[in-house]
Amino acid sequence: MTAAGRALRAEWTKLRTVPSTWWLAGTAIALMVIVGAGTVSGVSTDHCPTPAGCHEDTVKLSLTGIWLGQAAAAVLGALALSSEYGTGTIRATLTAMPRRPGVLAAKAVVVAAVVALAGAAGVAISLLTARLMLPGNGFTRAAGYPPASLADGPTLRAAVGTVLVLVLVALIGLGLAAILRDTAAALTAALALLYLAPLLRTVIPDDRWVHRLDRYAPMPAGLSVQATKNLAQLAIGPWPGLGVLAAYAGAALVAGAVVLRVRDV
Amino acid sequence: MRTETPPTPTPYRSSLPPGRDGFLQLLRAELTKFRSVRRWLIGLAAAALVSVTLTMLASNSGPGNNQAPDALAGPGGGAVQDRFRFVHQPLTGDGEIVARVVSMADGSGGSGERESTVPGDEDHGIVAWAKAGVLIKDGTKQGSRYAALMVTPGHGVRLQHNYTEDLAGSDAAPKNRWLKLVRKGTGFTGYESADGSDWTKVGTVTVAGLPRTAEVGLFVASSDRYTVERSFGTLSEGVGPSKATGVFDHVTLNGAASDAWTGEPIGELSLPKVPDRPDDRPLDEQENREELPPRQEIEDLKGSDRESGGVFTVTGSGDIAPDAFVGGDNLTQGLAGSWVALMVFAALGTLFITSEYRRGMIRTTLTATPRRGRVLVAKALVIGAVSFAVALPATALGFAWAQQRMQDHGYVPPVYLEYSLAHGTGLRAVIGTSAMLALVAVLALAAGAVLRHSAGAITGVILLMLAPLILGGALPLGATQWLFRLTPVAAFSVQRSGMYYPQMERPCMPENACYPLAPAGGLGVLLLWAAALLALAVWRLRKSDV
Repeated sequence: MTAAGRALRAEWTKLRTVPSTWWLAGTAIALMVIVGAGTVSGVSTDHCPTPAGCHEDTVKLSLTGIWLGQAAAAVLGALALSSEYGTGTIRATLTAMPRRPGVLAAKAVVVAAVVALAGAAGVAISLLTARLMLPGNGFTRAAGYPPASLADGPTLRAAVGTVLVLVLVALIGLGLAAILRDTAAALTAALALLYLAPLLRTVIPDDRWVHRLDRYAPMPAGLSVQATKNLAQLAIGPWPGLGVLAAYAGAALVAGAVVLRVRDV
Repeated sequence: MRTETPPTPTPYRSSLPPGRDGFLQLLRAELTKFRSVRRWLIGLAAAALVSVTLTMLASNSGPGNNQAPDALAGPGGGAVQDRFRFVHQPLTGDGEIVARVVSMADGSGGSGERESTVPGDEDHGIVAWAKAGVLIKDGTKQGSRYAALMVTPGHGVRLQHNYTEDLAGSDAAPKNRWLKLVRKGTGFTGYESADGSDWTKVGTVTVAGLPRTAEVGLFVASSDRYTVERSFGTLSEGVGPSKATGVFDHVTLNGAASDAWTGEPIGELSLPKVPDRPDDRPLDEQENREELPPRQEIEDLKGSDRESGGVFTVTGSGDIAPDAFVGGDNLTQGLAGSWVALMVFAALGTLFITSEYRRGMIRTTLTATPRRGRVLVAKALVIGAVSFAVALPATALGFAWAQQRMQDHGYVPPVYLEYSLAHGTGLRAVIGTSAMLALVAVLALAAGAVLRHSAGAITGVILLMLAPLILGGALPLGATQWLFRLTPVAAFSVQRSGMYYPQMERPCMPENACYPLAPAGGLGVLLLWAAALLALAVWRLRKSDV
């Protein structure tokens, strides 16, 4: 087995044998499905004069659960590293694998894999729930609202993009944990990074600043990938928006790798 | 042979006096623990710094396109609406006006002039806040001081003055209701009666600055029909003008007045105002804007009045009320830093107990102080006091600075209210926000003591406090209101600005800076939650091993 393979295997063993990993993955799925179902239950065709003139983005609405589900992903990513600092395992880990950035990379891979699986499950169940609930709210095929299908480009983009958002948020958590080396600090920083922009934009009356927040803050930008309708009204396009979020995740990981490399543990 | 018994060794006894285990010593011990962890102190300093910085960021921009140049200022400085039909004459000095409101009806009904402008509200009658009554006003110019006694279809008899003040009388319907408004200097007393002989006092108000000669008469107004439909992900607000017709008889005017009535519309409809912020809400919400009423309709909304045999029939539109559709919530804008401070205090509160579990320190603590409940109470007091002591100056500094900057940037009356630490609302918001942050730290401490794990407690408390603010706009209105009544989020009512008035047809939504509970009540809900969770934590600490 190569060194990389051994590192991955070690990290995978650590991640899967900690109960909190599976609790958090389950919480992320549950939050996504519950909030998504609640959102879908409230949408109706009342404001849709015609199917073509309907602005209800049902795919995006059914994936609203990511607003809360991503918090669980961030915690999962942060705990994967910060708990090692809390218990001192990090010293054993770095003794066994002295190439420190490699350790972080291996952790990133296994965390991404677990979160991607959980995210895929959450997205699939959310979309399926929406598909079952929406006809009851008037979105029937007969009325001109065919159910969302992954064969549609925008729907597929929203589904894959949502999974990627969860993965990137978990990586932000991991990178912040590498920088801050403390569960509480990493979580506070990750949640602040995610949730402050949506809060700020509710009080800022100046549309230009709201537009800037929507373009460059990680959460509004990343979630623009969920849009399947009215793309022209987005502050940033779906894939560029996801790119902004990826830039935050990449920056957090690189900074984390540097801190891990230069500082004693 | 003699045996000598060796002297028995005396066991060692410390000569120090026994330590005291008073509660003050416990508090001191906990304070020492807190202040000797350097990264917590750094965390506190960072919380204060980031809080002020974030407040500055939020107040960095001007009001954008939200500044309505045609806004009308009331005597209190806030934006007001002042549009109604007035049948009046001057009255000099003290006097009184008596009138009976025979009936009130939807002013557009019967003639079938137009369809409703509000989607989903085709079957409307008269609006609940239509007003018919007697009015004493400083001339006929819009925005001037007044006192009015009126009866409304949905909210009974009201004594209102200067747009923002509202006093409720009985719940009587506008059917043969007698009203009497008495002026004495600047004091106005309203009476109501069912028969014109047996009067009940509604109240007395003072309208300072009303000149000796004022216009007195009958008025009818009918506020804009406001509908809001909120559901997950969509929000639509609609406003459309409405009209009402009031019939008066037994009109008597006592005092130095003539007997010639003049009927005229006060003010003219410009545009129906909808919050001019199409995309300031977290989810993809759409607002259904109303079409502007055509010119003819604006003329029509000026209403009419006629008198025949002492019976006055007055049709009017508009409202005499605060104007809630302009401006924004510049109070909360000056408190934006409290969100990030909340996150840090939640983390610190949790860590104050969970780090003891992680390091095993809790065993030393409980060996030194075997009365476990007191340990948690002491910790709660220390973390609460420390958080308040840091939050108060940081919030006050950020708030005062931000309000000053916003005023320089054009957040000026009448559209925006001026807040400062020197006035009640601003001071209450700053102290209340600091108290909320301190209670959040206590709540997080209790959550940490129950869960004994920092990640879950920190994330849980932060999401509990902030997720409803973000996702609240997506929930049905009723659900949001209950959320803001029952969960710890209720404490955000300390940031309620003076912009919401119950005497208006506008629902109480957090996006409107309106919270269903009063500030003290909201803080009380958070206090109850913190106390309940702390009790649970004490119970768990006593019951289970550490």
